[in-house]
Amino acid sequence: MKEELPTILRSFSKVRLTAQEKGTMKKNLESQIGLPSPANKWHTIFWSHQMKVAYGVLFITLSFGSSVVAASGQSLPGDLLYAVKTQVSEKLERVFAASTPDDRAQFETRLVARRFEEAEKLAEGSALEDGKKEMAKTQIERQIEKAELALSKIKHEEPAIESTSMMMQSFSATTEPAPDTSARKIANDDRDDYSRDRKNSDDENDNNREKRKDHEERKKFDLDEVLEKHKDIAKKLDIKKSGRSGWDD
Amino acid sequence: MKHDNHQQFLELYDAHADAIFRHCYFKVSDRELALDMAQQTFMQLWVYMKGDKPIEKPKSLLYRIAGNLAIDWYRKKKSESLENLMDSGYEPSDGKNGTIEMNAEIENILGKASGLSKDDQNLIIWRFVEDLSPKEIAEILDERENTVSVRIHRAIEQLKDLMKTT
Repeated sequence: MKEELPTILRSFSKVRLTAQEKGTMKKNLESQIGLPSPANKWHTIFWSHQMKVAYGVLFITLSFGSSVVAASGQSLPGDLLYAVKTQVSEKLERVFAASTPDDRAQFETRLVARRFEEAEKLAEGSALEDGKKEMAKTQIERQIEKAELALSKIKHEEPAIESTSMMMQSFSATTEPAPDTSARKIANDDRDDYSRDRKNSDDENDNNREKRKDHEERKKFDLDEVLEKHKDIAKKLDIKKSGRSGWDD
Repeated sequence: MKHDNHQQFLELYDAHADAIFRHCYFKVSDRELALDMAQQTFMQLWVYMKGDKPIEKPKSLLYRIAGNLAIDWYRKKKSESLENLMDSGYEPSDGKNGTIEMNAEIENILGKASGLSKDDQNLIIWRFVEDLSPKEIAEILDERENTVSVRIHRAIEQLKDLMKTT
């Protein structure tokens, strides 16, 4: 042997993975470590956040009877069952009602309205003067923060008017003066033509109607609208409308 | 925390994938099988990493896991062990290009190395192929560094003798 044995042995290091083999193995490993095994998957579902909340509700329901959870829905800040309402029922609602950022924002905005309505109920009696003012104020401010955070996570997308039949839909559906857009003018001029078209595009109309309904539903829970609607109680509670124009001017 | 683990795991893979594959390949002499074994080695490492106990020497652990997997394989496939395959003139295949790019001298040495005990084969591969220091090998084997150095020296002398006899 011309060469030293250790030197020859070192040349064994030529044996290595090809780039493709290395990449494929890495991908395999990544997918294996990223996804839970079937056993872990069930474990994960079983102890997921949603299930934990559901267990909590189940426990309370079994322990105190479903009437407690139901009764907590009518509770107001300062009531014994108010914590059940906000910490159990609403958390459960949040988990199941808010699967997308859009839904989450809508849900949180709805809760802002709910908090205001609770404060208004308190104000109807003398509860606000009985030391519950701060409690109600804190609840509202905290919920507004949650709603603003949820809203910041979605992009507000105004649904575009997607077809001529959609324009006709909006034209015949509303009696309010519409904005003077060029699309609107076309709709006025060619109303008869569009009516004919509409007959042939029932499916499309249904689709657009759904989208419009969804958009209107979303607008209904627009945070600004909610704040505006409840401005009286907001002023009474000295809640500042930070960063928004309107009732604290 | 989980993300850190993932990151650390992938870094370990990038650093040691070739060496672990090579180690497996010299054990099983089959490229596809060595690929499976190397992947399994890293999966077992991941299982350790998910545990509560911190891993101080992941490189040593990788070799230990690969070694154990090879022992399991030897037990299952004793009739097709490296020694028998080499004795019957088996040439390691890379599963793609027919014969792996190894010169005849290296193949010859591999064949001779099969005359050594498995422990000595490991010592030679780790020291001269993987370029592990006696200290690192001592960590893998959980032995003293001096002991390992002496054993490496003896193994290489034994291999030289085997080379001379044929």
